[in-house]
Amino acid sequence: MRRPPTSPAATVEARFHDGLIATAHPVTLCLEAGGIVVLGEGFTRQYDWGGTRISERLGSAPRLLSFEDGAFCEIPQQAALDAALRTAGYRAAWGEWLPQHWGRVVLALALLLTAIGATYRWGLPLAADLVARQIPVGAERALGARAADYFESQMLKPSKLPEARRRELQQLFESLVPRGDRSYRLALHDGGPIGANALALPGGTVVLTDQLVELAPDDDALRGVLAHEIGHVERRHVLRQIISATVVSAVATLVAGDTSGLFAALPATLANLSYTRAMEREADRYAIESLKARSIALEPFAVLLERLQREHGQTSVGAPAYLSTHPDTVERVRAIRAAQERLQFPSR
Amino acid sequence: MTGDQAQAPHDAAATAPTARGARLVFTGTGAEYFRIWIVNLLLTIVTLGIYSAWAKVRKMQYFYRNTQLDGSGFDYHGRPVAILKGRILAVVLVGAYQIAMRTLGPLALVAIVGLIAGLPWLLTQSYRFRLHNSSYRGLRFRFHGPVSQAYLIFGLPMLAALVPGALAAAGGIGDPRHPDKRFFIIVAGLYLVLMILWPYLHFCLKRWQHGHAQFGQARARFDATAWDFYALYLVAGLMMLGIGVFGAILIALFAGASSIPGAFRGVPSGIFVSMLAFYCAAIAVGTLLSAWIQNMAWSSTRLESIAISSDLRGGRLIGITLTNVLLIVFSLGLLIPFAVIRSMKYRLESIKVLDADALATIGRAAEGGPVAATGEGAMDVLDLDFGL
Repeated sequence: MRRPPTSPAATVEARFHDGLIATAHPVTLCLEAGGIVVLGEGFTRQYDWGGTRISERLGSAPRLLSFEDGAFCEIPQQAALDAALRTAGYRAAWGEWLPQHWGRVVLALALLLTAIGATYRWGLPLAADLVARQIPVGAERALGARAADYFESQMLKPSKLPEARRRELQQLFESLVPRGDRSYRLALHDGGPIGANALALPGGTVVLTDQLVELAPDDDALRGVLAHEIGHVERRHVLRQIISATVVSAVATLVAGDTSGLFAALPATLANLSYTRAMEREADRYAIESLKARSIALEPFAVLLERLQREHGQTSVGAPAYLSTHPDTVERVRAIRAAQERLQFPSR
Repeated sequence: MTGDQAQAPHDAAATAPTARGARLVFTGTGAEYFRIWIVNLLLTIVTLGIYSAWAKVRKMQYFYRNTQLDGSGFDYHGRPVAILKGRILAVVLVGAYQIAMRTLGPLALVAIVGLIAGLPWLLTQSYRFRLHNSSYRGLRFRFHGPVSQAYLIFGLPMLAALVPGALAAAGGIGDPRHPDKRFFIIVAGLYLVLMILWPYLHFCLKRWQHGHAQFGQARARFDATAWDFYALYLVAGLMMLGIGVFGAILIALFAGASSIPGAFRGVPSGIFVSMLAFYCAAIAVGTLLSAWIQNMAWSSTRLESIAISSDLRGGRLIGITLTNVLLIVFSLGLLIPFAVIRSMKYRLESIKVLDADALATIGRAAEGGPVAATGEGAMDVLDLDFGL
């Protein structure tokens, strides 16, 4: 298996175990070109290099030479063995070679941080997207249906808007649904603890609260909000979030696996929050495209976002799901207005 | 030399006061393990997790080979491919379970039943894999704890953790929209039973782990009783109660002074500090209890007639645990390897084998014995890292 040492014999102190009884025999090993000679008190053994396994170097832990007959030697002194093995042409594997010098470890750490950063920034969204595409919409609906039921019945009360207004809003919603997709549903509710809010549940249910309807300057603003929520559904954000959270917690478990679950949960939570921001921007882009395609003004949507921020800024006690993940409302409003301007210039 | 397999001594003289004791010595260092850990992580992430099986073998070999008893090290023999298979299976199972649970339908019920039926078996296989791949002085350890006991030990806690969800998933009885008295009675009863039985289950776990282990041909015995566990839990419980009463008095005192400036976001700083202190005290008592249990469990374990002892000091372990938490938090996880090595070194080096000379006479288990027949076939199947 290994090429024999070509240098003259090296001698190393070792402990010999025969593999049959838990007795350690102090021995001297002669590492020769032709093989290994074990010189013990009252016994001598000889082995070929061919059938001998050399354990990898692990810090300053003793190294093992394991022989074909089940016996092995434990060698506490690394230096003498290293010298003999170097001439023997022993080649360390990557995982063994890298930790042996601090310089390589620092390099590995730099590569590790780069790899984690790059995976997090580009790899994860891409992977989540690819996996999400493989999962049929029907399955996602099954995932979300009961959760949506529960949320609507537990957290929210029926809408207090007049019947006619509710019908109007339903029509408005249907005009925004892509390709007349039947899985979309608008649920109108009294916001209760969540106040002025809108959210997308997996499987196509969009919840809009009375308070948000009242806050909106006009129906175009509501169109903006609804298109934004439809964007979340279209881009499979809930599913993608579940997938990326799973991957992040798997990596966190790898890193903190030696300690406890206490530290493993933290990065996953952070990842969740930050992904939501990227997804909000994506949903905004979807809404902008959707409104532009229908020649609907974007400014009311921007105004409504500003009002929402003020509203939830004042009463921060509730659960502003719509806003808690939107700390960059100012930036979003700016993006929407910029899109509005781009829309207007060609027509002038 | 090959033919003289000595029987493990059975005579009382083997553990006479004149016997030469040997303490476990751990020679691993945080700096060395840090280097291995970083490289393992890098290669694992670069290979999308596949390398983790090889990384685990390297990590275990680093720990085992640096653990010395009477001048000789332990060794770990797990094969990376076997570990990889176990991990792939674990990922598939966890994924399937997550998906099933999210549907909240009948599929969730199937998943829960499957989990209760399957997990104790998996845990047994995993622990068996661990011991079968551990050796000292060339002799393998063995584990032949029956799966039936694993169902008792892990089944009840799992039942308690899963039944509320299962009832809710089954609909009707656990539906929060129509609170049902029966639901609360079942759940509360289950938790009460679990609380009362907890020390007994802990005893069963240790008896299962220690009492069914084997080193070479020498079988381990576990002599502790369930009452030993109840006594330790009782003392820890009383300490928690004392700390709770003391904490409540403190909070009441500070709450009375809440109008004093220096209030913290509306919450009196006194209450905030008391809560933090109470939390630290709870960690400390938990650590103390784990030290007592390690000492008692190891001191009640013998290998044939060779006694083992453990003399972990609770105060020292609390110090190590709390400073480890600080070390990890303030280094954002980068110093995890140092924390791991510190607590591993202290825990291992508290363990002592009281007759090192008798240990050296233990021979290899006969091939084809009952252990080999039950264990070998299954041992390659799984290593799931449950950290038993």
